[in-house]
Amino acid sequence: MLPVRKFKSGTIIFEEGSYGVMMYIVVEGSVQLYVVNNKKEVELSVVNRNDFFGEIEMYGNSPRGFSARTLSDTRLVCIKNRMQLEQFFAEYPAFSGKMMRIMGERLATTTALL
Amino acid sequence: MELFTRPEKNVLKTKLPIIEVATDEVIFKKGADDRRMFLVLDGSVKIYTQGETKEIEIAVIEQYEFFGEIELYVEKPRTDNAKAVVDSRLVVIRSPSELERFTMDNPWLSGKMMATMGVRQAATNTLLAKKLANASKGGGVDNTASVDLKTGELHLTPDSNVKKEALDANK
Repeated sequence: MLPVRKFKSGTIIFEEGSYGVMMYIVVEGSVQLYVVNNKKEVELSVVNRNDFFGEIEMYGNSPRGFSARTLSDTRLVCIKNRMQLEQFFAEYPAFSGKMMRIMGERLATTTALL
Repeated sequence: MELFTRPEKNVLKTKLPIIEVATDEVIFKKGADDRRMFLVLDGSVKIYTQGETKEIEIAVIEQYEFFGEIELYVEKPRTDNAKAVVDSRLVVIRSPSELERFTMDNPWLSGKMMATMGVRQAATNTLLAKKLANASKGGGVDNTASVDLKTGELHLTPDSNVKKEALDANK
């Protein structure tokens, strides 16, 4: 079992431009992903239960492309490397199917923009 | 008492079709309307473009790696060619739901597949960021577009429609 961490509402999980390799899966609560543009916050999406965020930095050595902040008291599974992610897949194979689908859709969308 | 435990054997579980391709056999050609994704079960496959005098290699896909995943989601012609480097066997995945099922059935493989997808996504994000920066410089428009890394969607403020047109023109 991987550790589940609790975060109070309004906690910043990470900030745009920072470096980190942790990926997060929402067990309970919700997390807002946003960027700051001309000193104004622009919401990109809200991640709810059973969804994930922060996975790209696990695979590429790039800074965070957005900030993440809890919108309510939230519990997150924190995955710090690929080995832990594989461990999570072994325990929850249904999640691996969902993650693959979402990653495939995203890759196709961004590739189409090139 | 056992001192050593034998690692669980990785067995591929799938009901999806498996095709055999011979050395140098073409799997798909650029421009083809073909929406299948392939996972290399054994052997290897070369992705290439056809230069004026010779083939230009883009990548070689080895065992348990995959290719052709973009067309699984987007209806567009193949942008490259693919052919077998040696005699190979390929799992054929024909839809996103088949990919989802395959991933769930093979958790020992899904980590590696996800890593491949993640590395490709990271590289694509970098390219897209460069493109947005160049469009911003060249077009003289303000930097008001951003890519949603959660969904891959391009977010635009009303003033940056010019930039979207620039991107669309370059597709």
